[in-house]
Amino acid sequence: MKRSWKKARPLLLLIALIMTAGISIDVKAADVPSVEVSGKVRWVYDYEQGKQLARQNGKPLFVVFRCER
Amino acid sequence: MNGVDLKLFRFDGDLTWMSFFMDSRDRFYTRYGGRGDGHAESYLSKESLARVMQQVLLLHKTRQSLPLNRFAALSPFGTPEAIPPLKKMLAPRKEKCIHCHDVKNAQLRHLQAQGKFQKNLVFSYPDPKRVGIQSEPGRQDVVARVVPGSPAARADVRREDRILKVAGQRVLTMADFSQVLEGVPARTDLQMQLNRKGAIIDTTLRLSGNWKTAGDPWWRPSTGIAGPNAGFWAVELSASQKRSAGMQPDALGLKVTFLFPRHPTPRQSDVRLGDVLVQLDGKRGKMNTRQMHAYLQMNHNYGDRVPIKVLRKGKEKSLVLQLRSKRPSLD
Repeated sequence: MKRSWKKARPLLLLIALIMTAGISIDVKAADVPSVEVSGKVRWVYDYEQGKQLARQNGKPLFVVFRCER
Repeated sequence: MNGVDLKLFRFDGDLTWMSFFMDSRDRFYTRYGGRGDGHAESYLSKESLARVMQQVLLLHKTRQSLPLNRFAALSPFGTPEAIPPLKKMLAPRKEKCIHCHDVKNAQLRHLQAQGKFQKNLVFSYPDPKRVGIQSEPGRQDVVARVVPGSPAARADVRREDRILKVAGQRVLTMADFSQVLEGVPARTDLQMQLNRKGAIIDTTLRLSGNWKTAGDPWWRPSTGIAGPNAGFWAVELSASQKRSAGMQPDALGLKVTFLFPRHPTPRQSDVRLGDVLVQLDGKRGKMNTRQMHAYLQMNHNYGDRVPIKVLRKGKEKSLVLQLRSKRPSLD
C-alpha cells in the first residue's frame, strides 16, 4: 500500500472510521490522501494511516474493497 | 489490490465489493459484502449496512474484536505482487492496478502451473443459501427463509431465528457465514447457535454432497481460468424478437454481435455475425452471454468440439463449435 492511491482508481482500498463526524485529524493532510464524500465521510486510502487514525480517535475501522468499473 | 496484505484481507476475488469492520490491531468485528448468483448487490443495502455499523459500535465499545478466524482461506502469498503469474498478467495493460479478480485468477493460474488446479476451485466462499439459509435483506443475521429439504431445514432452523454463531464463530452477516463455509470440507457437521424468541438453540447442519459447487458461476471472472470461451459476444433477443422468430420466451436466443479478434473458434466453426445461437451442447434453455461462456469454461476443455445450432437467414443450421486447442500463453 505504498503506491499512490489517487491513481489506483479501478480498485480501491477505502478506509473510514465509523462515526467520523467531528473528529480531528492530526496527521498531515499531505500524508493522508482522502476524498470527501457528501461531506460526512473522509475516506483514507492507506491502511496504516487508517489504523493510526483509529488509534488516535478510539474508533473502529470500516475497510472497503471495491471495483469502480 | 496493489500491496494489500492477503494474509489479513481474505475474501472472494470474484466480488466487486467487500468490506471489513476492524479495530486498529488487525482484529475483526465482522465482514460485510458478498453476493449470490443473481445480483452483485445481493447482500448490500443501506438498511443492513446501517444495522451492522450499529452492531459494530457496540462490539467496539465492549472490545469484542476477534482475531482472523481459522476458517479464513489461507493465502500462501503475502501480497498480490508475490503471486508468480501476476506480473505477466499485468504486462500488456497500461494501468497496473491489480483488481480483486486478478488476485484470484493469478492464484488459480499458479495452481494450474503446478498441476493442482481443479474447476471446482472457481466456487469459492459459498452463499449460505447453498445450505438452505436465506437472510432478511435488512438483518443479515436473521433467517428469512429456510429452503425445504436443505441441511438447514433438516437441522430445524426456522424463519425469524437469529443466527448467533456458526462453528463457534460470531455471525452478524452473510459474509461472516460464507467465510465459515469456505473453510469447511463439503462433508462436515457444522454447529449453529441460534436465538429463537429469546431462547438459545443449538443445532447441527449436517453437510454433504455437492453444495459447495452448486449454483451458476456465470458472474465469476475466474471461470475464464477454468476453460475456453466461445470466442464471440452476443446479445439476447428480446421477448418480441423471440416471438417473431417463433421462439418461446424462455428459449435460448443469443444474436452474435462481435467476434473476438484473433480468436480461432468462431472462424473455425463458421459462426458469423448475425447468427442467433438457439442450441448449445443440446441445451435450449435461456441464458445470457456470460452464462454461455461460463457453461463452456466449466463443462468443457481446450480442444473440445461442442455441437450448436444457430438461426441463419431464418433457417436452423447445425454447427460444431471448435474450442481453442490450448490455453493462451501469458508470454
